[in-house]
Amino acid sequence: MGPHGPDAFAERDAELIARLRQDDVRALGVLMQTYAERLTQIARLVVRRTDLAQDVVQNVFVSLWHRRAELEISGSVFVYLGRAVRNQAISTIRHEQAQQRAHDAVEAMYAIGPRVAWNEGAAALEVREIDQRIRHAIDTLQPQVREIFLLRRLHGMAYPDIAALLGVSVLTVRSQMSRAIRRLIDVVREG
Amino acid sequence: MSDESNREADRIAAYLTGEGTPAERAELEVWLGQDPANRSLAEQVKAQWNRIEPADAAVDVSAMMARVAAEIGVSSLTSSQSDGRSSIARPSRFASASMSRGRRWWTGAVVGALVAASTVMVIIAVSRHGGSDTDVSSPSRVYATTTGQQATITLPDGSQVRLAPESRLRFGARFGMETRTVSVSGEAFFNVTNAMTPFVVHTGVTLVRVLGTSFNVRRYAGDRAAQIAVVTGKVAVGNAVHTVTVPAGQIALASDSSNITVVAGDPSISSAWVDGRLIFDDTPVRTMLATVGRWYDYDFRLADSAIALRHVGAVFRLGETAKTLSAIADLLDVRVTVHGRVVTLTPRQRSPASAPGFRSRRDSFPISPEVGK
Repeated sequence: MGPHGPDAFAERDAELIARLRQDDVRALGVLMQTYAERLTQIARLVVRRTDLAQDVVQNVFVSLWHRRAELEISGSVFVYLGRAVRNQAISTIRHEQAQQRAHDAVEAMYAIGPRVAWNEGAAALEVREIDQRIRHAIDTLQPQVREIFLLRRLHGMAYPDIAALLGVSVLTVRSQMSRAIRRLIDVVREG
Repeated sequence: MSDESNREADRIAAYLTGEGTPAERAELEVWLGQDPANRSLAEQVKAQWNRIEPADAAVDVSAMMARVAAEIGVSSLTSSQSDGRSSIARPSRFASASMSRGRRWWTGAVVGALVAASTVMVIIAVSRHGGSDTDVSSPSRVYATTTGQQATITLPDGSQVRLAPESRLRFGARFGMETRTVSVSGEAFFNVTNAMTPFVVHTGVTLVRVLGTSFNVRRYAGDRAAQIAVVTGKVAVGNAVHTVTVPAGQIALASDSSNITVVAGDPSISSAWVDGRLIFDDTPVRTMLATVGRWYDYDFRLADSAIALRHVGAVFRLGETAKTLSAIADLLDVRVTVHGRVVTLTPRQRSPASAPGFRSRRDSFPISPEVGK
């Protein structure tokens, strides 16, 4: 559950793309208001830095504007933008790989919330230790497994929407999700 | 990795995400019931899953839009340079002044801040078969939660909806084009962005109409009336009979066909779940148990139905299952027995040495008038 999937606003988005082709810059503004935040979060799953993620998304919208005359989008505009953002994000990290490592440690994509574990016997210190292990477990998942897991958990995307975004099958999404859960189970068991 | 271990991960993934075919869901239920260890494992993993939250790195969409505008050589993405007049005459319906960015807008501090920000003009309501639900009947997007689940949905206008357990939110593909219309059953907290387009919530035949405000709507199956608690701003509530305006700090009770009653109350009690608390004030025990059951995925059974008619007050912190059960035990003076999702409440014996198990904890307490805030 969570943010709506790619097909929620198909009709409205088609109208916006048509307006974009007629050089209406406000259509670009509406698309950014609707999607820029979520696209930034998607980019951040790959680049793991907010500033880089914002740059990626800005570039995609600039390029959308420059290519407006020949735009042909069949299907969901969100998925179209999401795929462009992922591609750009992946090529960005190839460029910045050296710097990337240093930043990884500094800015994690997610934080463990303050909620107290249901199992009330756990002392606060113990809780923090498990948090570290969960965080580490997620951060060391294979990149695609991690991305799928966080798209689902943090962004509430449905399996078919994740599949469309990543260009993989729903079956792949399911099995990658199970691999991530396997890691969580292992951490819980060790605890 | 063994086959069995793979299947275990598949099942727990299905348990956490709610994905899977009906057959797989049925198989999951069997597996959970088979061995208490299975359910315990699933719940422990769920506890970890629930604690993973996005970092609060703010995304400043306006700043991004300004940079894109500069890059492509226009002054702004929200006004047209070639046709400034039309943008003044008809402001873009999408240009909401306050797209919600913080993922945690529902925390107390932020809800408080919204009080100041929210200005509302209102208010019309439409009768039973009013025209504005065409939006809902066109191809639509549905979000649903089951017991023990909640969800946050961001609508394309930036408005946010928190869905309580066992609730549904539906909106049409044309949301935001001419109207902003959604329908809801169960319970939801709305934080609506200001925009020229009215925002309309249908629940049964009751209709809530607003421009920008935050409020809680509750109408579960079996409820005789919809309850609309207004936290900030002002809304209009209408049914087949008439329409009333409900300002912040008031609660409307709207049955389908008769009067709408507006009472002074504490809307923050109705919407406390948004902050992770369940608050009951002079609530029938039956209602309290139904609500707690919905949140914790428990099915409460009362060995003595006389208890159900009593009225009680209590505050529970969501996520603290054991503490909640022990508080219920003390509040109702019952013994609590948990079997899977079935929780049986049996009156305690009069002898002082009885009632092993759950003991009183400071975390929950009977509510007093001052505590209700």
